[in-house]
Amino acid sequence: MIARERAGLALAGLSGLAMLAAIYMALVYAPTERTMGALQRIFYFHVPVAMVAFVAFGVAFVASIGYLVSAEQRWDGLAHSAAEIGEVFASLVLLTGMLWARAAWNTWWTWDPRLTTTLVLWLIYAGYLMLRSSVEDEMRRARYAAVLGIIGFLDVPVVFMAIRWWRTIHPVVFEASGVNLEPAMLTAFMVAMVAFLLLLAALLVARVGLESLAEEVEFLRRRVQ
Amino acid sequence: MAGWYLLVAAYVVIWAFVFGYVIWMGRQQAELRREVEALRKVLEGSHGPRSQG
Repeated sequence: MIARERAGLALAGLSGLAMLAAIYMALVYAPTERTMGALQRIFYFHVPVAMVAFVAFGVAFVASIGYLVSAEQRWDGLAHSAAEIGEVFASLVLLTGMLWARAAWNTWWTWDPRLTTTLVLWLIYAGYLMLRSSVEDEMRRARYAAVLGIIGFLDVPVVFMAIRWWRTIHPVVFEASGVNLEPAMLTAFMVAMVAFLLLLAALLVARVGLESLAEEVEFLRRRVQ
Repeated sequence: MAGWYLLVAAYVVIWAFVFGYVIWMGRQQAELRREVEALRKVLEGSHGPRSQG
């Protein structure tokens, strides 16, 4: 077993344990919120999932710069992996947000600045993945994707700041003055945050391994031809 | 009650996506490994007789 596979398994085990703890903290340990009741417990997964999507897109951003600077294939593989995982988490942010909105605002969707900029972010990375599958030449594909990976990331700070820059109905939990959470709620949130970061690391290791395997197939195909 | 229903739906959606993605990766990995094995066999087959002869 190679070192990457061992690291991936260790991370998967750790994230599994952390996730069990996070579920317990979110559903049992954290107190029930006064106005929204049980539904507020979506928060413990909705927000960490959003943060992890931002981190994944951040990794794709750094790896895209790495590729444009060095033209090394491993950077492109990392950018592709991170963008794809980021898109999975961004989809989850939108879906869990819609479920929350249905109960809190009595609508599945509203063109609120936070929701709209998040949808734009999802569309940018959907475009990124479509671009990758539509360009056949390896070098051109990597170069175009790297440029989009850098430009696309510019929307992440906009999503984060949307609830501070514009009038919005989306709640603001983390403010410059402090965090609007009970200590027990903050603890449950932090545990979920760690669990999702570990999950991101485990998925990233596995997905990069898949990229290396795909590269090996390409290399062997060329040799056979 | 509706709150619990939507809460459960949110958790189900999250785990369906995560496990779905992990299963997809596992299938891709198995497929790529099979392809690597097949291509290696082809290469061994094409190089074998030449090295003997």
